[in-house]
Amino acid sequence: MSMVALASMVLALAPFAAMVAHALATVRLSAAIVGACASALLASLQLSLITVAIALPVGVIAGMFIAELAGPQAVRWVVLGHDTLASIPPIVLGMFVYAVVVLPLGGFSLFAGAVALALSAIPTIALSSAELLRLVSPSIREATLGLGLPRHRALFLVLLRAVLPGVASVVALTFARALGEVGALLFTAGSSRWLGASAPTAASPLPLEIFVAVQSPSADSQGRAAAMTLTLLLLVSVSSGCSRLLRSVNR
Amino acid sequence: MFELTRRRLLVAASTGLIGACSRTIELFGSGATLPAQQYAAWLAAYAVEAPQVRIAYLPIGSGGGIRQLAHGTVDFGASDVEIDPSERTLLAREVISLPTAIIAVGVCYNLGGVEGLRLSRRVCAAIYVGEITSWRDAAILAENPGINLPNLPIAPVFRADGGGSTALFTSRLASESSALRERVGVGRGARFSVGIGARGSDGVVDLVANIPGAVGYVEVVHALRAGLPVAALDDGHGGFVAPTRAAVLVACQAREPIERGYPLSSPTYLVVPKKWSDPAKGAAMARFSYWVVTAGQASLDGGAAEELAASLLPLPAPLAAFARAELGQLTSGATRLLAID
Amino acid sequence: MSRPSHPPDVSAARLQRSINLPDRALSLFGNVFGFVAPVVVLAIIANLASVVIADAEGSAFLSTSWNPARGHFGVLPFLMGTVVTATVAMAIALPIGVLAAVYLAEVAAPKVARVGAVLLELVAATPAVVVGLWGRSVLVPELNDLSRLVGSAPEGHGFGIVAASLVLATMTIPTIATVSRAILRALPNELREGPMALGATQWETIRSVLLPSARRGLLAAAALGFGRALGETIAVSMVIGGRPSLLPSWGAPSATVSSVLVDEVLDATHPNHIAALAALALVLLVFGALTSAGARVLSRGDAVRA
Repeated sequence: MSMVALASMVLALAPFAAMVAHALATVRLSAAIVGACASALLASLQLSLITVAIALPVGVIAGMFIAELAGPQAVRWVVLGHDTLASIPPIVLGMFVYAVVVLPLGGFSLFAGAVALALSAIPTIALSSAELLRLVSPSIREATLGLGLPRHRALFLVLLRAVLPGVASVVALTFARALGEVGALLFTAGSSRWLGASAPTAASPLPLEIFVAVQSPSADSQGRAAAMTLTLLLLVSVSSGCSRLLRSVNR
Repeated sequence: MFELTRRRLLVAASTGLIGACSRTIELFGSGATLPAQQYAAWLAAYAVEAPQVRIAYLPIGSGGGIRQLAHGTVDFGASDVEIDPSERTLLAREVISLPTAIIAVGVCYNLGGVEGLRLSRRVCAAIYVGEITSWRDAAILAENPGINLPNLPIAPVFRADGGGSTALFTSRLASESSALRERVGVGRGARFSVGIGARGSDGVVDLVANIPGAVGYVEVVHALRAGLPVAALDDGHGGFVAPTRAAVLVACQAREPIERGYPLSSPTYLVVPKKWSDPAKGAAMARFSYWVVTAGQASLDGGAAEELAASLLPLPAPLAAFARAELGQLTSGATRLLAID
Repeated sequence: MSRPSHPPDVSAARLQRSINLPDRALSLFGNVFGFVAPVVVLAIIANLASVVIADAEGSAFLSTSWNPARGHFGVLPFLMGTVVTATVAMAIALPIGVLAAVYLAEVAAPKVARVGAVLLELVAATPAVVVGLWGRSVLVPELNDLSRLVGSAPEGHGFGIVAASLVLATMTIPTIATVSRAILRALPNELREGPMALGATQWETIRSVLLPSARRGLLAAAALGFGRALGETIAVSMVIGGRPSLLPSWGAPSATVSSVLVDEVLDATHPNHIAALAALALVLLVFGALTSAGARVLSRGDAVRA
């Protein structure tokens, strides 16, 4: 029976090993491909940074609201709202952002993609921040009350500092997730590029490029997809690793 | 981040500063993916012709372009087939369908090195409704007497994401098969109940190239680039014709599809609104469109008539004249934007 | 003196609310940002619902055929595809995931278990598009070859329900395993020591005591995994074959709610078409919300946040 359990563990990990092996087997590293990887990587980093820039303040302050500022009735609805938003598939979020950002503002953009990704990330950041704030030891709270600190000072100078590693860990997780997401980007950042002299020259993020390149039969396209896959996996592993590290610092 | 919006704001601001004399005019269009490469070449060439006009085109598919045009997100659209009445309703304003070039959809196949396959439209339709399932079916053998067809099941490949090639394929086959008309439908939204769905032209070519016995419909350009053979189709007069430049052009002499030449040929269109509130933008659009259907056609020439159509083809004279006449309908306020002779 | 660990008395905090500007700004931002999530959820539902209500044609959505060119907008084939692939995926993923969790929590040596847990987290973070690429480039051809070995020639040449279910299972197993492991580790040690003292073997303990005690949490993990499987879009759309059919068959291409959204949202222009796609998006939204709520109800209080 233990063998069965071990076999299950192997089955859980095996496909991932197969994915990496296949990528290593088909990868091509021509100058053009390396250049394409580099610009896609840049676009991915840009996208994830903008996502965090939007989601972090909204999420953390929402978390503070849930943990400290809201009345019990409001908390119920707000938490329900966050849980529901977190459960909405990214493609539906993308459709919404397409209707309210892309169509009115005029076209696909990294910003629209970041909005869609941020919508997905805000609940995670908010609920984690709220949870972390709730766990802050009562003695610290009493100290802020005793010192007569106004609420904004208490929250930002003291409580937030106390939960910083935990929040940073969730942010790193958000960053990692944003790196790999495609569904939210299909109708927002778009998988096609503007042509013409005045075209904005931003490349597509890595996962979108992979999605498009997979369709092509040529060995060059497959090699390109493999190179981007390996780059993406490296990036995601590093961010997830950072998240894990920060989580253990928190403890 | 706000690439487009910021660009527009910058253009508006700089426009206000510099003044009316040397304005940069920006036009945005989106739509069909098939002619995208040619459109990119045209945009680059026109940027030299008229440097104060900057045009950008986003190939997201005919449907996406029409929706963006309906929303006012872009200034013009592009479609591989003439837009239908429901799309005109969606656009809620009058537009012209301006033919810009001729495209050809080829039926590519994977029969392990076999070339020179002939498939009538009737046989194609029968394949795509599931009536013919093997390459050694009597109907196919009858049309291909000299070819040693392998005993493979047919794997039809279609576009899961619709697209102009589906519209063209189904509309040209519909006249030959009531089964196709009834079970599959005609247009971008036609759905097949046999075969495998691929995404994009690349997807079709990928599946056909990797599945022995597969057949798929895709732009001739894409098939040739991937090294896939394309079939000769029936020309409506008992003969078979491959998508050579001559055969494709012969089929597109008039607006309506005619029973000559290669049947899966069609113009591709720009969808341009008739009325423009900004006279400068309207004039720029009108002049660019005029350039495309006159001077721009020169870049499509070249290549022997008997070669397979490895790129978009220029408009035959009747269609070019029609295009020029259509442009006369563009107005801003009460004035026509172009004085057409 | 022990104090219960809860935030300070709300009324006491409220007493401290002075009229200073930064506190009021904080309160304002807190309210605004806090309600972003519920407001957006309502906006999405309203947006989709308005499209559906405005342009839908009554019960046409419940028909069994999807063919926009002929005006058929029956969504049932996609619902079938989604439910079948998710169910098959869970049937595969749940036992494997739980067993893997049992391995890490009960069987493996501590060092091995730690390494295994880290690897599992890494695998869980794999982007869906990478899984989809492997699915399309490796799994689909393999399935095709395997089928031919046993004599059948699948219409889909590897594309279809089987590939989609396997891809979904691959993505769900690590999540189920990680969550289940946490649940098992949280079980008190008496549950392990007691039966062993009475002479039970390790596996008898696991089967008769530990798993039943963890049942609620494991069901929550299952609900979570099911929710993910229902909503997964990218990997499924790359291997399913894009051909909706009401009664999905093993060897044939199929389609799911999420795959049709990927394929058709950008190209749809007909108002009924768009309305049908909006209705499908609403279905996905409801699926996600229901399974997520189910997982929450089941885990009630445990920190089951994936």
